[in-house]
Amino acid sequence: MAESKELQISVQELELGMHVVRLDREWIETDFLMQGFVITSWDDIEALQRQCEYVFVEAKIVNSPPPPPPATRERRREKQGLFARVTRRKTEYASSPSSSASRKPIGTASPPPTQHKVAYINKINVQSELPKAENTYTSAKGTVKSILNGIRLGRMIDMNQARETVNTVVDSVLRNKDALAWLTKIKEKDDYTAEHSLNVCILATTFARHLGHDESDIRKIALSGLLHDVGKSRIPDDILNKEGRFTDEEFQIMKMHTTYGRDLLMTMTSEDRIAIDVAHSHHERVDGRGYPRQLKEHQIPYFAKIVALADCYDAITSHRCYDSGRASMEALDIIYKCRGSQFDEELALEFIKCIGIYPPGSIVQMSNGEVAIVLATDENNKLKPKVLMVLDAQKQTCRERVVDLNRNALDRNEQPYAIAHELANGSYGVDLREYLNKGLVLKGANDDELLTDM
Amino acid sequence: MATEDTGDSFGFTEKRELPRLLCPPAFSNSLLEIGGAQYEADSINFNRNGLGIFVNGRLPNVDGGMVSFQFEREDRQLIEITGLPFELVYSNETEVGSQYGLKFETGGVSDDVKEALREIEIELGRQATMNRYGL
Repeated sequence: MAESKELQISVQELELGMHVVRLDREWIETDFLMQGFVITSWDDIEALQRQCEYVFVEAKIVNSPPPPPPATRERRREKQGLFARVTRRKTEYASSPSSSASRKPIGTASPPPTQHKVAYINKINVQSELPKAENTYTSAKGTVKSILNGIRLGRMIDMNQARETVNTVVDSVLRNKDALAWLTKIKEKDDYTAEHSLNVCILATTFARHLGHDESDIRKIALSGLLHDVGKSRIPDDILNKEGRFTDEEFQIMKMHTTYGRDLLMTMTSEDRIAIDVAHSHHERVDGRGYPRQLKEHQIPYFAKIVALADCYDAITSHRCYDSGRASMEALDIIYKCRGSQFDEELALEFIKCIGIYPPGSIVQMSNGEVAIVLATDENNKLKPKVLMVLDAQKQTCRERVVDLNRNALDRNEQPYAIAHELANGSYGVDLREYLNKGLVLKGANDDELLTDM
Repeated sequence: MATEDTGDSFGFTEKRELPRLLCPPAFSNSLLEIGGAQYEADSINFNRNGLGIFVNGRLPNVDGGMVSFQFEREDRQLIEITGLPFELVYSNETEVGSQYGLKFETGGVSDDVKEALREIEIELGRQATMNRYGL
């Protein structure tokens, strides 16, 4: 298995094409804008020779292959449980060195770069924004596909087109944070990379709004989210769309998309250059075990930490060519458990708050067995969203009606409605796309009645 | 609890007989032993029948192995389970990390191991709140 390692070399030995990942001094002490770059000209080499004595370049090393599966007899003994033991003892302090109980306390992550938090409010309700959001989503997905296909054909990325797409997404999220988020829940198995890129853009934008960034930063984060996986357009189709398990070599090639993305975006204008860092660094981990550069926590760009969360959430909940997506809660469980190791701790908790346990578009089973779709969440009580009841307790189609759980609504048995658990899209035949295609029409100003336009 | 069947229009069917309970900080990371090599994984969720884990990178392509983990009860008693055989029943390997479902193979294990698994599940169930992440 090949993996990337840093190799220290003298600046006199530098050659074109080498990927410089670290210098013999801090980057901020030099003239280089990028913290890591591929040498593309003799000017680059001369600049390095002027300012450094040695640098670290990325090198490929080959590890011994993973150990083979256990011998049949050994595996048989394992399966019989002959090695299984339980021991009990009293502890003074939390368990083992590897226990997550030894995690550092919350509150040590780097503060966001913005000093003044902006408090956003929804300018229009989700039902009013949804038709516009649907147009935005369809058009944006087409643009992302066009960008990715263009790269495959050797074209440059049309940054104006990308920025226009980002602006329509950001404008929608600023008008109402739930409408586009709703649409990210409808997952297709085809066009995973394009759809995922757009979903990450939307989720990162929604998260940036939640964090209170100003509009300018939100647009940069949105662009970074849209282009974070652009390097996948350099991955061969037969690997990208493979239905079975990747071989170790294919898995390593897939991981190259971060470096390919950085290379593709190197021509961006200065105000968009943060997207280069994000494309290169969105798989770095705060424990230093990420890729491609194994950056330490303080070396990972803040915007890359934001996009990494949106990326993980959408990757886990998406349908791939080889698998169905998982429920939102499974992705949130992973983010929660990997806070402080894979993800920035504070940002991970904020992301969970932003998404909410039951985000818009979730299909949920109520404690009385009825099934509903979450329409919108209440900032102050995310456990009690506004839902559209679609199936009765026997899982039969019922008259659709909106129930605001925050208003302590009662069911037919005069019991308070409560959500029991989330279901994956498609459960009991409830398909979000069908509901969207029907066109949700709100009747009445108080949002109490909502019917589908059949 | 009966197996929950939730239809299948997207190829998704809930197969778990019991809900998985989020592993709190008192539940250690898991140590997997596969083919003589050891792999550390984040323990995500648990019930007496199995464990959801998340791995940086991915595991070898095998059908099972042995898993060890610890759980510290609120009274500070540490329950340590080692060498528990498992079958790998689910895997979702992505660029952001890999998610696996382990089903414990308890057919041949001693009663005290089974009892410990039940005890951990009951304790996690007792600790679980409506507000899953305490936020």
